[in-house]
Amino acid sequence: MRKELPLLVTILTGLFVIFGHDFAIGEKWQLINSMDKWQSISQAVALLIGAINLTRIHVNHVRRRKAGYIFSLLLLVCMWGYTVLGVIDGYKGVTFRWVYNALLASLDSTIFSLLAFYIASAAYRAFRVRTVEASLLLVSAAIVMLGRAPIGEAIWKGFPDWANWIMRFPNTAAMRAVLIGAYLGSFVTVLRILLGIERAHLGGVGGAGMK
Amino acid sequence: MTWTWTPAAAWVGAIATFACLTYLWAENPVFRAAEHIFVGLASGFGIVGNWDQYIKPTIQTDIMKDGKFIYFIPIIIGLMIYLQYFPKVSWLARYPMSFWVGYGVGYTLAFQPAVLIKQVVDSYGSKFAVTAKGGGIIFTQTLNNVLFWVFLLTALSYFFFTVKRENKLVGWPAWFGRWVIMVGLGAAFGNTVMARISLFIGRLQFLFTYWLQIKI
Repeated sequence: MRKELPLLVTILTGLFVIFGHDFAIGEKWQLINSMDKWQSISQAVALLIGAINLTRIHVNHVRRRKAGYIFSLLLLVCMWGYTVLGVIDGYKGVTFRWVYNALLASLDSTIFSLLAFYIASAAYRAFRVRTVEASLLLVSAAIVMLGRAPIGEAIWKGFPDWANWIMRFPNTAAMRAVLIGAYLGSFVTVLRILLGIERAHLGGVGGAGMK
Repeated sequence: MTWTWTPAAAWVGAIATFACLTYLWAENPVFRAAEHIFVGLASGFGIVGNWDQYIKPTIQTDIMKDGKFIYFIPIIIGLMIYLQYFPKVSWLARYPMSFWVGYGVGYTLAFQPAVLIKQVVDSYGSKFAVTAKGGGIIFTQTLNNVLFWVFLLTALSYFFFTVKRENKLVGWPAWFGRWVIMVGLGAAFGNTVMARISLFIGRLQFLFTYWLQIKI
């Protein structure tokens, strides 16, 4: 019963979301209209699990004095210190926002901008022209990059137009084909879950005592 | 709330920026410190956002002020996930997961087809682009519409595995579809590179304008 009942919960919740509006189930409590809120509240309450796991891992590093444990200590101080500051000062508090704008936003955008350098070396390895496909990848990427930068237009006025054409037609068509495939795949998966064939979400949670 | 770069804030931002950029030279303790500070602050920001946007309003407004005690149920569902830390009752942690997966299943089946069907219908609409007065056909636009349709069909045929590729009816379109996908992926890659470079230019602009106070 420890697996069958949760499976029943999955199936009933799924059916409720699909048919709830048609049969006005739980109208007195406006159940179907508040399902989105139920979902977001329950997930918000559960989200702390990520922070707890991160804390457990880094507390272990500090306790065992693993190499670089000082960085783990730094992470814990920043995480819980910033959390306490946010709870006291408020999400829109002046100090909380100051740390966000001055430090967190700077770290965030610089770390992501680092990829501009590494993506270039990745491109060199990926795009070495060996096949027709690699050449197509290289040419379309080069046209889009040149079309999006002022230097491209300075070299040849046609680059922006060609970049736009590639983005509007081959790129949209290819991405739509991938998206349609992904949608069909997701429908098959959710049908498998709804029919009780797929049960992966019920296993592998918890310790050895979970049977 | 408007944000202005005070000298202190600009210095903090500049030190953080340089600490991250040191990684371009090699992996080093300064970068590792910046990386750990980033993960810590980002996690803290997420926890506070979660508390402020969802948990606090639910308890303060919905339950205590409006008396909607039914919202205790999702709170209890969410709390049940923490039971996985207690081996004897860890199996109860399956219930919140079941609820979330069930909700996702229902949502996908009830609401996603509308998005998919609209995309499919739009892809197979009329290929003829006519002038505003309805008099003549715009040749380039019509050609582009037909090309888009060919690109989409051939790219879709690349994912069609029911018939073997030796069959020429499927083999040739799939072969061309592979090229279309490559062009599409190359364009997506080029766009990503440009987005990252824009971010880097943004950091340089910050350093010159707000830290060094040099007007560009």
